[in-house]
Amino acid sequence: MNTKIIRTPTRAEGGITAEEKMKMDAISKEWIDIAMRTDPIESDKIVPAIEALYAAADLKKPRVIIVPSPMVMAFAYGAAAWIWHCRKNPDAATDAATYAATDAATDAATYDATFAATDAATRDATRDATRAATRAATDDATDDATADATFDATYAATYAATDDATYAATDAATYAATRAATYAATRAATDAATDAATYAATDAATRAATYAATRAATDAATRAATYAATRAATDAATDAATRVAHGSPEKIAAKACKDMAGDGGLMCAKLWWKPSQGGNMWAPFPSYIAAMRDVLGLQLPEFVKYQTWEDSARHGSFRIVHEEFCMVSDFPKQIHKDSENRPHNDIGPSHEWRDGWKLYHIHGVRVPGLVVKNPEQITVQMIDEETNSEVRRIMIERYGQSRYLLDAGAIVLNRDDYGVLLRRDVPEDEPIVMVRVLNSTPEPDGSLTTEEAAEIFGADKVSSQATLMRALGYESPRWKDYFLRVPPEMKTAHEAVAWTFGVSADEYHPDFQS
Amino acid sequence: MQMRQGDVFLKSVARIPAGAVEVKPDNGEVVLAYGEVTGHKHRICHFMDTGALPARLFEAGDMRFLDVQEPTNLVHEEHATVALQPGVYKVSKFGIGTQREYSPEAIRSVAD
Repeated sequence: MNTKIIRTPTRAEGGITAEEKMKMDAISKEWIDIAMRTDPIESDKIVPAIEALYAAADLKKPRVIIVPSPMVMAFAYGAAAWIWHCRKNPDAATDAATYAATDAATDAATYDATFAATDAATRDATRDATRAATRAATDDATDDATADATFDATYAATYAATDDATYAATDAATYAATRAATYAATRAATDAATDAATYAATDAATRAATYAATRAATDAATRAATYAATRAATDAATDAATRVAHGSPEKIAAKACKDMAGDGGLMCAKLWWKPSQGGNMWAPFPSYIAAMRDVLGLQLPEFVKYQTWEDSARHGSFRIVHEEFCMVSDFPKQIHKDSENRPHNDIGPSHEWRDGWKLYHIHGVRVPGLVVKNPEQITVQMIDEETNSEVRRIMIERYGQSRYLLDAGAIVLNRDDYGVLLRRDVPEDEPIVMVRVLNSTPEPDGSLTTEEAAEIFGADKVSSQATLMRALGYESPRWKDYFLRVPPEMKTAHEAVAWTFGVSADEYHPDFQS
Repeated sequence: MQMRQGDVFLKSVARIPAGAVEVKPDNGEVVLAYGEVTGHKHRICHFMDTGALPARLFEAGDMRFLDVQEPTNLVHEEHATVALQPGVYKVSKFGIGTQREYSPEAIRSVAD
């Protein structure tokens, strides 16, 4: 550092020292741990933190509702937001009532038959957020507008103000060094496994469930209008109960949302992300501000209000800030990552919340649960219908690349003394090209008979070995084949095998193979 | 001269590059590759009578070389034995493996 180090309560200049860097590393680690919290949320800590956050933004005290997972949060928010909107906008309420009445009249399902945890939680959270609100003042603003305003108010009063003030109080070198030591480090360690994963997954779950719920309602209406009407009441009740019981948590939550607030609730649920804040899962910023304050010694006036943002991040996970209520999600029960901090679990969920909601990831790619839990149920058709190429690759890997090649009808590009070169085109991805080779030595656990091996690899290649083996006393040798994936531009099996050893076909002519 | 035993490929070369470092024998054997899954090994055993090793393995950067001083055998549980004559051989090596496989993002080594 060639600039002079300056540390006062209002200025920090000259970059950071080695000792400061060590302290910042500790802060970064602390916030990474907070981002990865898996212990239960404590209401006596998060409720005052949220109330203080609203107060810092000069907003009225909200109802603070703790929900078990971000998924329940999305649907409970949707229902609660719409109910509030309708109370404040009587015209909308009429629409909603009509929707709800129509829905109730056409859908014979009595969901109280099976009250899944998510269903109950969504309903409870919605009631908590709207209870005793019949005398609420009329508000002309639409729900989305008030939600955005609340987000903006809390954000501007704490986060943005602190960021601006801190930036102004430091020089470029100090700012950059501190950001790198804390914000960037924390972000690298947490982003993929927490914020991004949860955001994308919750969004996807909400979309899927909303679609499912809408479809289910249509289905129910059609049933009621046609053959359901002619069936005995007990049959219909049984059928409906079974359908609900077998639904995924997302479907159950979506149904609860629709049940309470109609399509308006589902539409609000789809927009859950607009008024949401990440809580502990937005850890990079708090770690950076903590470094500026606790290591470099800045004591800016903005830090006073900012403390409420930090406390809310420390004690709660994702939250939705609404004018009337704030819903805060509990922390996940477990988070699994790979060495690059991407959410990952080969044999189970990458994330699981205490209400049983789970997400599945393979090295950062979100996949349907079946791909992880029951890979044996993956079919060629499912693989070919998958539109996300990253997900498709994982499905193929778990199905078995070579098995996929054989089952999905690969083209034989070439057959020579070295093996068989196969290709299977994959939509919107590069083709899978593999060379199938025969182990020169027959083995007791080989999967192919001599006849099968001869058919695949050619009679000449197999017969000489078979003769040798018979001379050694193996009457019915069995053969082991294996597959090696090679670059798609390979033209012959010879070239492909040579490539696996890092040489060209011209350079690869073994005098002896076993 | 070129030989292949499973995923291990040996090719005659003129000499071992300067600066190559000897890889210590493992339990009295020269091991060219370990099967990660099966625990099987591509290996050269010491002479039963003297306990001496007929070959030495060297590492030079990301390359490996086998210096065979006396006629010997490369053995493996699942493959026929490969006879080796005195001379220097380059041993295939990719990362921790001996044969590579293509993957769209990166090259990874085969674990047998």
